[in-house]
Amino acid sequence: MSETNYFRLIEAYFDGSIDPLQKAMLESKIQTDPLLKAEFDLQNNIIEGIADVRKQQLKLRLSAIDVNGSGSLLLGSGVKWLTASLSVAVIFSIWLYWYTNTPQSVNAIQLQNEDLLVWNETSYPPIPTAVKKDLFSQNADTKQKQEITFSERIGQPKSIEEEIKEEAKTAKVKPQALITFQDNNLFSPTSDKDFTKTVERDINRSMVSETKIEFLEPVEDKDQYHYKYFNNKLYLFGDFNNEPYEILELHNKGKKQLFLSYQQTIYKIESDKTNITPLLKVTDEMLILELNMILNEE
Amino acid sequence: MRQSDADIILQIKAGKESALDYLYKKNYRMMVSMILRNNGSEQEAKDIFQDALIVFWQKAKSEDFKLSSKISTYLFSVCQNLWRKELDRKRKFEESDKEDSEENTFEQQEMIKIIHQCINELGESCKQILTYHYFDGMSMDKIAEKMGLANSDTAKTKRYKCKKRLDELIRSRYTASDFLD
Repeated sequence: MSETNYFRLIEAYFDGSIDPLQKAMLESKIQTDPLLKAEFDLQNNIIEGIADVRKQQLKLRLSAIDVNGSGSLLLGSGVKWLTASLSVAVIFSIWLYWYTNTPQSVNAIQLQNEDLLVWNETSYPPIPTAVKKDLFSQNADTKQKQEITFSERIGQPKSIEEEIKEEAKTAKVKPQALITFQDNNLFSPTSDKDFTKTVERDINRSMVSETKIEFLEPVEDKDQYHYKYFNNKLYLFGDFNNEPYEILELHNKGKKQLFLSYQQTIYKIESDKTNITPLLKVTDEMLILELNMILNEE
Repeated sequence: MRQSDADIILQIKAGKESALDYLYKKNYRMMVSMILRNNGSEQEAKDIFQDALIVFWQKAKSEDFKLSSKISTYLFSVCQNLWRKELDRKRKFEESDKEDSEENTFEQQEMIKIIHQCINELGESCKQILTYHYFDGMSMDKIAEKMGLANSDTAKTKRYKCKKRLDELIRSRYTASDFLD
């Protein structure tokens, strides 16, 4: 076989069209013919080179694929399941925490106070409003006991609307339970008019006065009355023998305001007058009306 | 969208490279993890997995190919074998005379470099027909169909001319004695 024929056999070899007999002949010749072996190696490298070029094309294509977040579907779905499971677990934990920390029942709170008031509100759990400070502000002079009983409603938490309703309800009950003097300025009015305004809202009275009274001779004019007040003692200067008099003493939080009713006239007595001071008539009509109503009740 | 193994094989046989993209994304993490666990770097793992996919591409295109397992299992086995070979190659390289090895590797690399340059100097249609024939193992009928040529004889003639041209280019760069040294 000529050399050219061997070159054709090499070509057939790489085409895959060579028959077994020719293949054996070629392989034998390659072992003994260095030039033929060189040609065979060259052709082998060329064919591999062609394959490499194609491989490089495919590998470039694959390298351009974004594999972030990809992977096997099994792993991907596993991550999804894990995420979903964790989410459910977190939601369940939050719910459980919230549920177990929501009071199912609250023991009755026994509050002893000076008014006897029994308030059974079984359908509302108004813990915050029940302990409001202003509910317990009351007349120190009122010797009463208050028993307030709250029972927590078993079940669901309150909505904002419910709480607002409860607040409103509590506010309605409050004045019925106690008479309060929340305005500290009540007993330091700058005028009768101001005083009237405050008294209109909340007033309580006590005719039982601990104030000691001492009558003294008139200071100047016989018809003019004077007074001074210190150390819980009232000194009245004037002629008070014609008719009975009455002292109204109003208390709030340790403070008190005195009024003198004498001969159909009401006078205001201020507690810090250590010097002899003329008794001044209360001129505010509304205040006079209120005070007369109190006097007539007795 | 999830595709069945049978669909993927059909796509590969039709020469659709997008089937490779799908397999790459789907199996990337599993294959790379296996190589990373066996002392491989991420770049090595990528190379091995890409080579495995190309092996699968070539196998799946042959007419007598039959898939006896899931594609992912097949790919995993190919990756394992390729990585084992790579580890062997590394071990042998370390054990052998490094100077001789480096010299041989250098000559081989030079020759491959020239061959690649010459292939890239061919026209696109020549490159295509040669890769279809020598890499993908396509028949002349299929190449003619894919490249829009008149018939298989036209494809055969074109393939012969392109190969002859490539040989001439390479020979012009290197004489036979160069390769024999």
